[in-house]
Amino acid sequence: MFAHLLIGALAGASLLLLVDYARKKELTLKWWHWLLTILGIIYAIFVLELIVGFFSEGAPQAALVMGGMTGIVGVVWGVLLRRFVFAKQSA
Amino acid sequence: MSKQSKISRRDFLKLSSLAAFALPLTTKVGQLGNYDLIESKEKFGGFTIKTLKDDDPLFEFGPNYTRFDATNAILSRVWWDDEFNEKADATETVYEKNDPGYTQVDKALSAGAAYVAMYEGTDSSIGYLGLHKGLMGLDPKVNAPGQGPSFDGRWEHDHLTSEEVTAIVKKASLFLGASMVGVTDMNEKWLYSHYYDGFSQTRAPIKVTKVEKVELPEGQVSPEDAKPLIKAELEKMDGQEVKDLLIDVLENIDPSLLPSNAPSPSFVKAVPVSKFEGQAGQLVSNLPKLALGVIAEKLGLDIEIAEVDPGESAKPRYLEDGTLAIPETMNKVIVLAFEEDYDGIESAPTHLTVAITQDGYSKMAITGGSLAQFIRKLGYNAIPCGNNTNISVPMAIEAGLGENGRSGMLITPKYGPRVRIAKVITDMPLENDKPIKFGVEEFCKSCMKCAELCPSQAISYEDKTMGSANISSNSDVLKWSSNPEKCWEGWVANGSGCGICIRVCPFNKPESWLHDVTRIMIGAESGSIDSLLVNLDDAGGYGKKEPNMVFWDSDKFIHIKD
Repeated sequence: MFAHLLIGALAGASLLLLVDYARKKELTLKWWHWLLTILGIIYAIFVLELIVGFFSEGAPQAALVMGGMTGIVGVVWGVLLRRFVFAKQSA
Repeated sequence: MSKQSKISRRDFLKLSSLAAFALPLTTKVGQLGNYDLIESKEKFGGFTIKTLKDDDPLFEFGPNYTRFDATNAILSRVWWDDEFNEKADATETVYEKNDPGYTQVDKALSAGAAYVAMYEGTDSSIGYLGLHKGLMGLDPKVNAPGQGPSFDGRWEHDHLTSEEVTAIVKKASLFLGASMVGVTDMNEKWLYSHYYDGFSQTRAPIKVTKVEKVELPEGQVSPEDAKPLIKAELEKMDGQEVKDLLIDVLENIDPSLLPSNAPSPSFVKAVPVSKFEGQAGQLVSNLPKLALGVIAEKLGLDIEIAEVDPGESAKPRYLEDGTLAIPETMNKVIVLAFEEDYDGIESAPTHLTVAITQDGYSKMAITGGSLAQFIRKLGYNAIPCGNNTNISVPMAIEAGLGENGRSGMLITPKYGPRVRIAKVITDMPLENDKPIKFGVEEFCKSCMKCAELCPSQAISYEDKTMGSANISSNSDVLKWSSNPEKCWEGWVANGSGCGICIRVCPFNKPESWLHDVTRIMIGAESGSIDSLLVNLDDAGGYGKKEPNMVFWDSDKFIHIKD
């Protein structure tokens, strides 16, 4: 239960920080920028929940393998967001 | 560069409409065609399920198929086949005393779990293939206080549809301890030709026997015999008279005693008279016993519609030569499946797994016997069966509980192969379930985990075949054919039972959203991603060769130590 709360809090905080960051940097964000960002955060929740789920099932190897595989996609997603959504206009 | 630091009202509306569109779409996707994804979670554990149509073939038989003789089943052969026993006993054991899973605690748990199954020799009828004894006896051993053994008359259920009657029996089955329940017709092909009782060294045929017609006292007739009499009277009347009579009957019967689909008097009034012309036969055939009695009275027929005690020939019994006689009227089979503990199966092939298996046999005895008694007290006959009398796996498949896997076991959607099966044969009129498909056959073609990890190599790597490895497996029916002799040798080597094929099966997964994703992909029966899923299963550390001794350490039931 604590893990789910923590993941929820992290996700909420991430979104708030992103909104705050965009406001401070006066970024021009189109609606689909926000959509991709929110989907990215949902995906990150999915990855974290997946890792927690496998650990709580008593399958640490599955947590590492599946967490690793899906995590890589999440990292790529994050990098792309940073490169093309949040970084491009901040210059 | 325009500044836009927050989501505009317009953007918010776009997002909302996208979500509003996506949610029902994702909900509906699972309901396309024959698939039933969303509503099947409780029963099917997240799989996309297809029910087979009546003309879809379930099993393919060869021209020389004969009913299997239970004397040749491996659990019978260990009682009489000295040559085989000698060979099996020479198998080298692979465990040490006090190895994990072989401690005194593990063996004690196994003994405790087996207690009901073994009590008064009932194990001979639950785990083995012999006589119906004890809790699984043909007759009730005891009766509840105030309830004698005599025939109390049949349960009046004319006011219920057959689906509702079936649902009541299924609810009773689940209440009495079954994890899954399904109904199918008695298929004589799956009836053993003979039973073999190791304890008493008895071998005798199992036969379906004729039921003699019972003569009632003069003036009394059975509902079936009353129908032609009433029909003859109705045929003498014109349409208006039949209509008036039907309205009169419907207005004078307590509506709660009528089937839920019975027409109301006002509905009948609205039907044109022409619809009642020449329809006496159809009208009578659909009427419940209660309405027949009222109509007979209105027609002035001097008959009493009586419940019929079907007599001895309608009861299951052992004949003098030991033959098990199953009356032809006992043409329904209620198939029960019992979930086995996940953590316990993880410890396969140790004594802990035997505890899980024996717990299943005890539950089979408790629930099978109790359900049979419930049915008897409703005025019908019932034979509770464990492994005996008819072959469990194909009966369970026909009853819609799952599919046949490479290991030869029943693969259920919710528990995979982690179930024990019991049956109750009855003459109670019940509605059949439809057989299901959820991708097992396709998946098992790619997955060889049970075959690869079987220590005695008893499971086939080949395609389905009509052949059999030895006399302990039936031939002339298309299936993945395993080798029961090798399987038993594996048991001897383990000094207990085995269950590795259950443990390593990718369908054996706890209920979780994580595995639901895989279940949906398997249920799609694409075949092309099955190998990938098997590789992911391996990579995730599932289904290893070594047991996962988590039973005593997991927090299931109770936390033991920090």
